[in-house]
Amino acid sequence: MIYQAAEITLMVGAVLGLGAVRGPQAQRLLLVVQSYLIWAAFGVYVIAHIVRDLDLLHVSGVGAAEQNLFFRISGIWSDHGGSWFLWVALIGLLGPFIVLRARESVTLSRPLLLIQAANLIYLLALVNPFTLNTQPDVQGVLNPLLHDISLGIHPPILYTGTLLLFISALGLIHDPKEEAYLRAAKLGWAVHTVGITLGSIWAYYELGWGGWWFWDPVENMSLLPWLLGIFLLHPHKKVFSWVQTVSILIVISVLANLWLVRSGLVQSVHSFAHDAEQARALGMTVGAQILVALWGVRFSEDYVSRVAWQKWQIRIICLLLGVLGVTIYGPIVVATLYVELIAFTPAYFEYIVAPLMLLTVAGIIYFLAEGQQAFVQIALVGLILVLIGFAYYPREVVALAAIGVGLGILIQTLRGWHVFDRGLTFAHSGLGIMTLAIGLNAVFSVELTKEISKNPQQVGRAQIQLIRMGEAHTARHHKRHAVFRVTKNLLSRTLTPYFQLDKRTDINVSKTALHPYDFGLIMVSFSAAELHEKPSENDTITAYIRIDPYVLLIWFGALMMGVGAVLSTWFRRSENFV
Amino acid sequence: MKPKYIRLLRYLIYLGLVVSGVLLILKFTWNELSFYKTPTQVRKGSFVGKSLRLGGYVKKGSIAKAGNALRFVVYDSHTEILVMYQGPVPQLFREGQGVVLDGKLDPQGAFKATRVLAKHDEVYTSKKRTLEPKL
Repeated sequence: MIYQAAEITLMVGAVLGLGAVRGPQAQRLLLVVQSYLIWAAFGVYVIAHIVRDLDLLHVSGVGAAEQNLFFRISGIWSDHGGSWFLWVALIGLLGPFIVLRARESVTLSRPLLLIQAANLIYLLALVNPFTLNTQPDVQGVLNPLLHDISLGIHPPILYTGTLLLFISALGLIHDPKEEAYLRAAKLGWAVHTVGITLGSIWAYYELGWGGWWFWDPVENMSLLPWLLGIFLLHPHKKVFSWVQTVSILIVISVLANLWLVRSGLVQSVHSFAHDAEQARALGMTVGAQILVALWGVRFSEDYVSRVAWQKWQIRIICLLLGVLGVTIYGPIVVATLYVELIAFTPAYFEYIVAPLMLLTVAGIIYFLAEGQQAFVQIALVGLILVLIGFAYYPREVVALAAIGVGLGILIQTLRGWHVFDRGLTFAHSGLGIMTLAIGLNAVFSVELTKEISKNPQQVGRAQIQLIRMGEAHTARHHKRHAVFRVTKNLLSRTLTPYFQLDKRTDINVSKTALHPYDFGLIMVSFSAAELHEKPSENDTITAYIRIDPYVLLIWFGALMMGVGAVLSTWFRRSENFV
Repeated sequence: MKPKYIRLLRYLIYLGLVVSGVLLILKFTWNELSFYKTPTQVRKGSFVGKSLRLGGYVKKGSIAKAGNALRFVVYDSHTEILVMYQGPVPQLFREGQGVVLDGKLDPQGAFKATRVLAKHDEVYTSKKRTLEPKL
């Protein structure tokens, strides 16, 4: 009964989208009411997962056998339908929040009402969360690969950040002068940064997801709104059309990503399996949202060409951003069209996308440094040298360029660019530290497969020794573990990586073990060679070892950026704002 | 130097930068594109040393340990190919299942895989079209 009621609540919420034809006051009221309705339904949904009501299909699909409350709640967004509901619910929370903060602007409620209506129609028609379970004896489990504490943290935080950025960009398209939107965009960018960082940490310790950054299509796509958001953090004084242009690009990129990730067109660790019908329906939903967002946009009089476009630096930065966009989306489009023919390897991104990103960052730094002539000449000479070296030693040169750009940012920041603003100093130092650490890590990281025996062995500058191995069989799992002693950074600890075969789903879950190594980590785990090796036959084990001596600094720098952006949102005098 | 020539020189430098940039991008794009092949196609063509993406099924009973590497045979309807893989434990890897591998063909004719593609669908099988090799 209660599920039908919740379903009807959602339908009413969708119908309220019609209120978009009324005046601004009514729209604002309807938006709040719509959000209350969505949250009432979402509340029912969450409680159903908490009390494990197997009448609900989704509960029996993801959390039927789950004892732990944390994973029963996280299970909500472990698949397409549930995470879509979370997305809608979060718009319902953050939308009214931003609308009510921006008291003087009346333009955001209308697109939000319509967007939520489109989302709800898709939700109810194609992935209805309140579908009842007709086969109560069939029970699913949470995907064992997702059975991790990060599942509870990474998606909601990333969604919150992306949506704050998205909704405030939606507002800025129509009202670029509203300070509350810029403020919310800044906050959103900060949370988005933290969300991406958490994803990076998760992918790092979850083996097989390829390290702290793997150029997974979805990782790449999340970068675009992030890079564009940088321009909202540094709004050009009084060029509101520039803010509008950037906001439009943000809205389009977020929605395009939503479609690409969820349609199943992209091969990624994030992708959801889907049929063509779902992809089409989703495409229409997203297309409608883009139309709604852009409907009736009026560019501010100060069109970019008048003021900012005159500066050649802006032109170059735009060109770089354009090329960057093409190099990131290009492979996705190619892979979608010729899915079985061509694949882009990580090297493509390391040698092409990463240098372009560095160039873009360097361009922005140069632009913000207000053009010192000496700087240009040094930069040009440096650029030519880099290009020549790049042809022969791409990896080293890109890494060196990252180190250079990182140092440059740090030096410029510490020279007192923003003495008056602690948040900015903090954020820019974070960017410098992160870029520097990425470069250093690329030079010094090591990845190897090695036989480890019971005698201590030197790996890099760490000592590794096998203590013992073990095996355990249960009804659900077949688990193997090994105990190592690792000594590094004046610290000696035992590490216990394991891998287990989940018998219900036939998935190997391999948990790594980490130990500090300089400013980063050393990772020890089973290697593939152990897949069909009986333990206890001999006293050695083939371990997969990865040393990333600066990876902690990368995350630290990224989090610093996020925290700095938040600080400068709250502790900045408003007259400096635009 | 007259300002005119300085300006000319500057434009030439820009032009040089753009041209070399485009050439570099082309060079690397071409080398780093990896083409999807089945074992039969790999046997027929000459792909030694090129980046490839190999799709096929893991042969039953072929999985073994070879030094530091995992050794197994991938097959399609006509051909079998020996694969050596060094690296972390792949998440979806079972005898008889379809796999997609990134790597290169060595001169001896074995495929040196650097990556076994893994994904986490809500449906835990490799049903998707790219994971289903063309036979």
